[in-house]
Amino acid sequence: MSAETIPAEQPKPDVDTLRRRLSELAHSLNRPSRLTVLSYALCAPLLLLLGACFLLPLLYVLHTGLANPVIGSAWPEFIQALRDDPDDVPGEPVFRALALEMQRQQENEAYKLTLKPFSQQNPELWRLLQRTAKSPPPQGFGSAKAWFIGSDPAWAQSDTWKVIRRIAAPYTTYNLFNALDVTLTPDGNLRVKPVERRGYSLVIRNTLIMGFWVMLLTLLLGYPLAYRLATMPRTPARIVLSGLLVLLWTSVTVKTYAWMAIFDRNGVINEMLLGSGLAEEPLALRPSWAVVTVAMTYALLPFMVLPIYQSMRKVSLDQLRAAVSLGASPMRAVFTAYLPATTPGIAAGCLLVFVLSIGYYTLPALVAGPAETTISMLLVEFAVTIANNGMAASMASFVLLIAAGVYFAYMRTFAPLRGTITRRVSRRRSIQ
Amino acid sequence: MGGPESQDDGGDSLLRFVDVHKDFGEGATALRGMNLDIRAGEFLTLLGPSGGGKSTALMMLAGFDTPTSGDIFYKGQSLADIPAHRRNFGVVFQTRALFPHLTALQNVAYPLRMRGVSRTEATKRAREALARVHLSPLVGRRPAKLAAGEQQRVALARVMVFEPDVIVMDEPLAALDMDLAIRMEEEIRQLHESLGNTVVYATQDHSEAIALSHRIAIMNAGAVQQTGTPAALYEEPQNTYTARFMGETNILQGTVTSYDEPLCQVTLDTGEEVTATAISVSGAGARTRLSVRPERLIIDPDETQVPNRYKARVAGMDFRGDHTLLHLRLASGTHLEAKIPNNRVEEGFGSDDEIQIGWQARHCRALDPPG
Repeated sequence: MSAETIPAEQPKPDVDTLRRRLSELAHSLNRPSRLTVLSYALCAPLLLLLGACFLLPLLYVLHTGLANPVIGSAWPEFIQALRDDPDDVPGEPVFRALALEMQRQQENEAYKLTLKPFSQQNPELWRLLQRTAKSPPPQGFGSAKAWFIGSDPAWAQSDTWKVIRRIAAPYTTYNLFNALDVTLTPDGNLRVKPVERRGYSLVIRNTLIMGFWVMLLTLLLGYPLAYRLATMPRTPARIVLSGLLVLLWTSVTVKTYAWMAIFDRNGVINEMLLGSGLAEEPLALRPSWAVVTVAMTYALLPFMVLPIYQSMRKVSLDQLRAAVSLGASPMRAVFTAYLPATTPGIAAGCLLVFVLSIGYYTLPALVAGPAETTISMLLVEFAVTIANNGMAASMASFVLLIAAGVYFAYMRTFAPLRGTITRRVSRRRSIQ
Repeated sequence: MGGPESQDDGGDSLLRFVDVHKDFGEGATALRGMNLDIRAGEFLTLLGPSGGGKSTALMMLAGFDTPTSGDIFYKGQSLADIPAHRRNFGVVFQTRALFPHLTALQNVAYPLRMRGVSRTEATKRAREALARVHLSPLVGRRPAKLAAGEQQRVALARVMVFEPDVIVMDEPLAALDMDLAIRMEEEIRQLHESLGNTVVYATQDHSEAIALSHRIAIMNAGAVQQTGTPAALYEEPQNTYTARFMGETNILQGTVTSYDEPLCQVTLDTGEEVTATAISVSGAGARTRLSVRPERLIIDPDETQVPNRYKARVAGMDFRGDHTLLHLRLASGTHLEAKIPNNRVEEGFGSDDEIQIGWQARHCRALDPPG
């Protein structure tokens, strides 16, 4: 009879063979292809340039702000002895090393420079050192410790040594705190300087306030301008845009001198006020924060307009129509459909303008007076005039820190709009 | 497709376009006297080429634009003074027009929030609407993270959720891939069947219009050319434009030699004599265009039944999947196309064969003159 052919059972593939094949496959997928290697090689010059001209200087600046190099390199024996001695008031070897340093200082005039960190960081200690150095320990004294304490009882106080240890440390937060007008007590507590001695923190505060005003003004001027541009026919929009770009390309110095000509004592505004009889004598318009803010607003306007314009171009007329057809009055449609759809552009513009304005140098340096010092002007003062690299680096670090902080906040808020929206975020704003 | 069978407008129309004109200035005219009646609960499609005035008509219906002259009535009342946000008409755009800063759920809840529905209630109803378009797992996503078809479903849900009196759809499937568009077509039809809204739909695609609509209004040059059920428009076009736009057809030019209601005799410019159904023929001597659908051509026709019979040569064959298209050439050089079942080809039917073809007088419609 017709015997049904039973299909021979398929031999089961060996599990090990399968596993091996899988791992081979995975390996071949992981191995970088020749093309990948080539693409990295092509990027190498750029990466090297970035590393050499951007990353290294950046790290160097951050390091300079914290480093405390002078004493460490100048008084090596003293520093070593101090490190080996954990007591509050150190023992004989430390005093002996200090006495040797002072004798050397007596012989070498240039050596006095090594005391600079003391004079900068703690004037009292510096005076103590000066006093002690006037009558240096005699050659071949018995106990250096006894001699020092004999010359000034301050040497027996643990506070003195706490301060010395802090100044002698390889790294110091002194510059960073000093930039905020905060000093450290010998116990390591933070103490805000009295109002009349504050200076640097005011500069930082004023710069931030100015940055905020510039951001607000560019936004108020830039949003309507961007809207007009986005709703214009293409050709006129291009012409206005190139006008904005010309504003960007014009040298900052030229723009600045133009503002000076406008706001000067014999400037355009004063001429007009005098000519029309509105003022009887020329007004002192410059220097003032108002003029700095106006000039900065003018210079940074393109950085606000361009991102907003970009985000507006992405909003279609249909989105507004949809809002209206879904029951929103035209006014409500603008606030619920148009404005939120352009917020990424607004945020990007604000970020750019704020970060640029707190770091701007040329314009405020030319327009402003001493009362309108900005962070970058102070920075240049430290770096060039006073040659205090530590403070200059600290100031630079603050600008960097603020910029990074603002950028981080921006990314936290607006990255989800472009990429994956996490569950947490979507739950938090479950509905509008 | 079931639906209202009667072709003519009644007094029960929900929406009525009365002699609507639209001028955009500088000689650009979008509508030149559009008249149309739309009944409650029907799915009506405006079918026509781009630039035919479909979009303009829909935008005016939705309230984004106003007629230069003429008026649109809703339940007998002029829409001229009712702004778009008070019309309670839902619009689905070709561009989808979702709000990029809101999630799918927030997008769908938007019309409810605008109507003062509480947040909890709006969320609940938005979830239900999204479930109806099979998007429940994606409610938390923003439009940028949704595929084109998913975006269009969100747009549908956003319109359905507030139960609008009329749903206006402006080429909602035009930007989608073909197979996706066909699936969405099916979903739109099911939604309409279950909800029963009045839908005014615009498309350039006749097969989409045929699949979806109760009635179709053919639009060209800013006016409605013909209105009717899909079957009526396909089988009984009143003019050459409709005949061509509703599907493939053979158009033959000729002169009427005798006219005997409902038939007429036509001599083609190439010499053949044809008996046709007179549709828009003024009388003997008039010029006319004949329309015969390719699937109405008969191979080896029965001499007693078919008045129009000719010898033809098979000039070429195109395999079209569900049928085969024959390119035929009559002795006079006239070119005709015929659709035949694939099994006729398999029976041994080849290029260059001499065959007899023909068609019935009722399938050959004598329409408007050329030019």
